[in-house]
Amino acid sequence: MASKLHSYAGKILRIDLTHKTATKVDTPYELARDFVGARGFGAKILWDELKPGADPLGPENKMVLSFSPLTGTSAQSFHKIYAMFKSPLTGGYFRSTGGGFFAAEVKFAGYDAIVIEGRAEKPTYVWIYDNTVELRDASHVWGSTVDATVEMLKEETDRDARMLTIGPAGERLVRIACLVTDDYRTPGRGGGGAVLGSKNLKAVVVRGTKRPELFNPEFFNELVKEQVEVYKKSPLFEAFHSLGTNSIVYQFYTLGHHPTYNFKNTELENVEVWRPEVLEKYVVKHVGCFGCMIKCGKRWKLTKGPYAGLIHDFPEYESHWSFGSTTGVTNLEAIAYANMLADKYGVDTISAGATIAFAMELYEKGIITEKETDGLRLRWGDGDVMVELIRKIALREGIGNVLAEGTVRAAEVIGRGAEKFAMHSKRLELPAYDPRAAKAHGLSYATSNIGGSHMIGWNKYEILGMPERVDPLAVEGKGLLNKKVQDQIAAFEAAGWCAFAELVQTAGYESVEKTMEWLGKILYAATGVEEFKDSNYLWLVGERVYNLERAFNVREGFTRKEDWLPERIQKVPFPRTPAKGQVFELDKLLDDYYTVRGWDVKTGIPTRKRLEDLGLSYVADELQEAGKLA
Amino acid sequence: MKVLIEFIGYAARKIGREWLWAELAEGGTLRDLISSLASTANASTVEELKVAITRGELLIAVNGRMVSDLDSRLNDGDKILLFPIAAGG
Repeated sequence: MASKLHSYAGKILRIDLTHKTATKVDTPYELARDFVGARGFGAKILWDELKPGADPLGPENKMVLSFSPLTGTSAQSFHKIYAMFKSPLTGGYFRSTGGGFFAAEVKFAGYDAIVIEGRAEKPTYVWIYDNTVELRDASHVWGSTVDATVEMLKEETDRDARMLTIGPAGERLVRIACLVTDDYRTPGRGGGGAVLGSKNLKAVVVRGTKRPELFNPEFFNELVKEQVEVYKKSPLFEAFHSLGTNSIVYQFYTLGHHPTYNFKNTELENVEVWRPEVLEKYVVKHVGCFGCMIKCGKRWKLTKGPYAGLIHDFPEYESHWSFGSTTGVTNLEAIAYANMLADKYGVDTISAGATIAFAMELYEKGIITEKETDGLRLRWGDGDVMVELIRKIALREGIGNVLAEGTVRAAEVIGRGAEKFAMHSKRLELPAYDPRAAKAHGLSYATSNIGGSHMIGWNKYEILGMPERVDPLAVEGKGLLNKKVQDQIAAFEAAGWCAFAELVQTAGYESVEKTMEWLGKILYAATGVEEFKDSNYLWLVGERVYNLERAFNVREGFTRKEDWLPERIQKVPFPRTPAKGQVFELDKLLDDYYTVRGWDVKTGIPTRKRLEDLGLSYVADELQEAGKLA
Repeated sequence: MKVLIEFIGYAARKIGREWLWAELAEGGTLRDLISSLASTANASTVEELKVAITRGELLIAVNGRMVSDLDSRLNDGDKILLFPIAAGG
């Protein structure tokens, strides 16, 4: 057994903002072996260190930014930020992820993870240059948008520095505020921006000069070469490269996956402008993350209409939906402008658009009127009103102060039956797929440990028919299918991989199993950890991470009743082809899923046996002691 | 019978149009439909599309349901979508 951890940076940086300390501790071998890195590290550290009931916006909450042994190497697409924290939106475990160059730079500075805790007494930013870590005054950038912050902090640290920052929304504790990188690859969901805002932390700025040291460079390089070849021959490579995730908006609408009008799902007028041939006309540049040849990011330029002059990161599939299809806005310029504003103010585009759509439906139903909306007419399809609402949410101004709480808390404030129109699961706004049109994918919305996220169980079998086609409308077998996808994603996210890149590679191999075998080999070649060689071990790690995250929520009081989807999804038949007449059979699907997970069917809580099988007996002990084990 | 076929992205560029109504004999299949495109585009383009379909690079949906069997029979008024594989996020 290799006792040295190759390709890990070897240190975890702990920043205590209350006590103004920065401490470096060795990355424990057991932590690396049992949880690999990235999402796995975050799940384990939060389980070990957060007490149940911790206030997500209190100094006791922690944010773990963690990376992978493959981050900063020549392996493709493993250079993502994984941010784990207790969410001020859901009240439970959260994992949020974004790309860019920040993750690789942290690794180059010498850290596998940064754990942020406490609360600074005044606005602060962290400046990391290799071993040197400083907590600096951020009063001069407090209140500024992301672009201004990036410019100012680069000027006073290093032009080549990379950073993770928050905008005015995070400072104002907007519960749907996000983290934003210097190049707008945002870990967007779950309110991470508000967590940093509550800590008075404006940014983490980093510059590093070290490089990961590989266990077997020759074998590693062979595997990277194989990966590049598989990417090149993958039918998905060109799609992601040419137009990013936007290349599928129109088709997913046609396939019934792409909801409209706050999930009412009536036909969207003017939907033809979602066609890729229309969207690609706006692209002026392809941009990518560190060490990724796919370059799925696009810069859009607007040359006409009231928003002309803009060049910014494009509204990708989800943002296109949240500022487009679910609000009924088909003015592409308004969607692109809204996306830019959300990025610069630091608001999650998915939750922001979904919350605006919720408000538009309340206005349509007469539940709110112009008296409550600062005189705005929240009519479906009005792009100018949408843009104004983003600003109001980010700055907590007027109606924006209510909507800044997300749909569920906003509905509580508004009353009058508004909660019926909050489209969420575990208080996280649902994204751009309708659960009624893809049952395993919908089951992941309901059971996800972070709430209504599409990325915890993005079901390629149902949505793309890849690598094997599964009928998206069938109910039978969907518990097992959802478990498989959730565990695989947890495994490759513990390795720090990008979900889009995994799709490209799996499409190239035409096999999930081949992808996981390759992943095991490259992790071993990088680190020398024997266990990683076996892809079965990686599947086990994925299931272990998933169960640990679940246990975190159980400890917070979550049970089966939180695995829920709105009444509209469960009871109102889907109105258009191809899922016409479909509803979401929640109870039947949950029974099936808990059974295959080895969890108690009545409560949805993992059993002692399953936890012990996954090497989590200490988790079973703690849950039992708290009287929460099934 | 008449069916509507809509082309997306790469398929639209190859055929040179975004959609067309195709006339097929009763009982006609997806394969018949693709072959009938030879009246609009040249034969080598149609062959290229067939290869792309076989390789999974081009996907087909009939009335919003994904179909991979080219021998599937079509019905009057069906709407067919021919599109390059791509994924959302």
